[in-house]
Amino acid sequence: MSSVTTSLAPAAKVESATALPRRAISLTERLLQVNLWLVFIFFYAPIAVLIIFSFNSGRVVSQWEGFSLAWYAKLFSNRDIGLALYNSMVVAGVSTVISTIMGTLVALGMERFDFRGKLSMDSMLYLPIIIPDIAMAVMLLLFFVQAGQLLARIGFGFSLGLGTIILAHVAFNISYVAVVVRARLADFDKSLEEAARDLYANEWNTFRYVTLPLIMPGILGGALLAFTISLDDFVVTFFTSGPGSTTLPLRIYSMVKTGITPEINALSTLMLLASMVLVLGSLALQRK
Amino acid sequence: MTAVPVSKIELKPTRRRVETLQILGLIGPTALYLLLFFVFPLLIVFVYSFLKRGVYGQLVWEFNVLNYVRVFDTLYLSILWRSFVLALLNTLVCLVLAYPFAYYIARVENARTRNLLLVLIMVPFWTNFLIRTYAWRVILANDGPINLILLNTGLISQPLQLIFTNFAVVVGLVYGYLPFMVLPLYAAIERIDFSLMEAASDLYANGWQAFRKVLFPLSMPGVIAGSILVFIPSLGAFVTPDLLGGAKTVMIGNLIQGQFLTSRDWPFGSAFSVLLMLMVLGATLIYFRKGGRTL
Amino acid sequence: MSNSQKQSNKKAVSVELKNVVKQFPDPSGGVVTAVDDVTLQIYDGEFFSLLGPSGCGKTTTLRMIAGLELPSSGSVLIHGQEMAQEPAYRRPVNTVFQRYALFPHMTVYDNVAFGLRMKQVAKDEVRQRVDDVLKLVRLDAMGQRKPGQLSGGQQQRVALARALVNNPEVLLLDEPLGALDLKLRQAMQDELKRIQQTVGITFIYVTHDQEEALTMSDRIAVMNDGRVLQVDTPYELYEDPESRFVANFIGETNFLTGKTDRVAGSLVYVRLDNGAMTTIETGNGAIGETVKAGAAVTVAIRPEKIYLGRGDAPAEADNAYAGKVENIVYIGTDTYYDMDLPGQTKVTVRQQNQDYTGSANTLAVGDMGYVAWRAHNASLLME
Repeated sequence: MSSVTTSLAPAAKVESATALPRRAISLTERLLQVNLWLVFIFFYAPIAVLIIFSFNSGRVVSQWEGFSLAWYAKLFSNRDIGLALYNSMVVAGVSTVISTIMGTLVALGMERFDFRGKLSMDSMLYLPIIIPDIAMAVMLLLFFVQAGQLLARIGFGFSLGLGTIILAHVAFNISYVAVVVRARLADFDKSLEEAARDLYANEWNTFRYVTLPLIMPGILGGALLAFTISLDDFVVTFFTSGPGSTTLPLRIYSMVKTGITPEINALSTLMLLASMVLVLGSLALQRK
Repeated sequence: MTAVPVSKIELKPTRRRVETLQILGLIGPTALYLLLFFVFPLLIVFVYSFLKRGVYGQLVWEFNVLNYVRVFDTLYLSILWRSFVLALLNTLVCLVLAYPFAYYIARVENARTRNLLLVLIMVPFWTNFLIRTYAWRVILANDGPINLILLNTGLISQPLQLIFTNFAVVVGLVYGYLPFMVLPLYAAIERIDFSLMEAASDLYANGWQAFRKVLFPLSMPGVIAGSILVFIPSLGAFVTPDLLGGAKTVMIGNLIQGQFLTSRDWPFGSAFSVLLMLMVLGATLIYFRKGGRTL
Repeated sequence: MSNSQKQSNKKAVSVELKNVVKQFPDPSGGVVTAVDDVTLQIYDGEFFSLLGPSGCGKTTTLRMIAGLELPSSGSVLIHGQEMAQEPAYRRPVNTVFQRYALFPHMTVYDNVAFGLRMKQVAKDEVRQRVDDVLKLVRLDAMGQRKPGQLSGGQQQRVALARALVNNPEVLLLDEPLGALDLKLRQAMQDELKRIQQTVGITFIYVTHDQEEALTMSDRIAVMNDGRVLQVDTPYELYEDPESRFVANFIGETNFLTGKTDRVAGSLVYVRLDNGAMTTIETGNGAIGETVKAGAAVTVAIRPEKIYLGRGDAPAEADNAYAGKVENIVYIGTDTYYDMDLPGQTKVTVRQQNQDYTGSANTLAVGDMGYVAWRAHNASLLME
């Protein structure tokens, strides 16, 4: 019976498109199509402008004066940007590793066990995602300043820098990883674990050979999300950074603030390219 | 049957001890981490919001509610109001643009085309937020492409002031958050059985009535989810008004940033942070009350 | 019940459940008793079925034998060894899961080899045994496929192979054919039976499909509401149900209520509520000791055991009653006649549409006729 209904459903859908009066469709349909194209233009026009003018030889961003790779050359000789990129990679890499491990563990705990205080733990996990990043940023700033002063008194003073940025990024990335991994665990067919136990696998082997490989896409997805968010983060980083710990977004911000130059366009184009490669790569991985 | 007390249903003591250890091992690290680096900072902000700023910007440990009273100053009230209006406007514009868009995609027959369209709206979203915002600074600039085209076609003789206005801020916010609206709407509409629309038209509803009475109510979960997902982050937006707005488009985020990094009035900035968090939590609670599940 | 049990008592006991109870906490804070004081003995090499409607506790019972649930009280013995509190991975039993539960990230070969590898069987032996069992289930060419690339029937056979390769003392099957369509189901029933006879392992089979249970099993335990109502061979269960539930769950039955009039050896005379007398031959000579005259009883008689005659009932007939045809339902192989007997008693008769002698019944709605059945075809239910 159910197979009959499912096989009928797509057919019914096709019919609905043709069964309605032709004229009525074409008007609504045309409006829908216009909206579709407008939205896509809205999405892609700014990106196109950035890319085009990154190859402009002139300084003015919107007056085409001829093709040139000068801004890319300038970009590659800019040591500040190289350093910022390095800092960004360190922050994103370290915070991703830490938050992926902790987020996966906590997701397993939350999905598999019932315990007192689970509801509080749940809220504590969701809040960092919900709270605006500006609020997250200032509270971490206050915390680090206070903690720094306190620890300085007993000789363990520290100042804002890469360390505090990483600590801050882990604080919100755990939640993102946990959400993604939990979604994967919630879909998990428990009878697969039962089958493993039935086939002489103890708890550890069940986890090692069945659970872990099956939730791996979720873990990798969570890690990728954490990495992207960390790399992208400006506000929290802005407030928890110190001298010498400028990340790429911070660098871009100060460049934008001091004035628009095609150099930023060149940088943007490269970053666009990098994130496309990253995203398409992860999509290809997921398809496997 | 032999009556078994409920407590006996539970595990043997050794197994329970093992389970407790497992829970501690899995949850413990994150619980400690978030207590230290999230809950504790949250409490500090809360405490700070009841303290005073000294003459030189230092902290005075003197409990008072003056920071919250100061919020009712017309200057700050107008900033709160503007943040609320801009966030709401952003939500509405996103809804109007995203609904037909999501509807169109949901009705595409070919699954590959459908997925491609969805990926296409996500692609710009994966690029750096600052760069996306910066792009609009270029486009809306006085010597930017839009003004250039308008000047060249003779529609205007003077460049329009587009950048550093509320308009620019809303455009930037829409650009930043539109995917948050499209995805839940798509998920909600895609789930709807389109034969219901046929049933409606069979029962004498015209296209508009069928939409109004059938499609829209059924897609309500997506509308609510999308609206909350757009409204919450735009309320606390900082980068967009900072880069695209001017002195007259200050939002809560900029105000807080100013108090912390420029005026160095941390207690007052904390009070505003607490207010912002309360507004956001209120919106979230409404969302969950309305039956929303996913974040 | 007694006959079959006496016969099989000579065999060694494979699985024994003693007063097994399983309770779950329910969301409102109370307890749900899923399995209620179940005692069973299952013999070596037997094809044993747990049959009952969904929620009757049959799957929970199976899972307690597997070790996937631990009983709240009672004992589970496998070849005399107490196993009630042992985890699944320490029990010499294997399970074929309802939706197969094949590991989607492993090949068919790796799925089947999983249990042997966990037991750290030597590589060569693993290869040998996996190859053998894949041949047994006719999947020797599919070893390198992933489960997702197989049809439902093939997946089912992989699940079977994955359990059998471990040479379990008992094989547990949880509605293994439930996800297959009718044709495939029937083919797989034969296949399962063939495999069981080849390997000679005890099969414990959970199903809600009475026909499946009757076709395949040596013995069946019928369960309802967490309790075992009757354990018997398919023949005994069908011919001699001991309760209304069993009589109704397996096949269809007419129930006639009344009071016992007298007992004579294996014959019980019952005065039905409509005043008519009926005789039941119980096949048990000592029935007089357990049935008291005047006890409220139910007489169960299968529709196909009833003869439908035209005209008046012959005087010498066993249990013959005149009645009027109230409704006729034609279902192809057979025809149902709803007969209206005096005293607001209704009986359904099922007649085969076989017409070799040309004397087929041509009764129409409203016609008078008579129904009759042999005393040994009726069952006496003490409820």
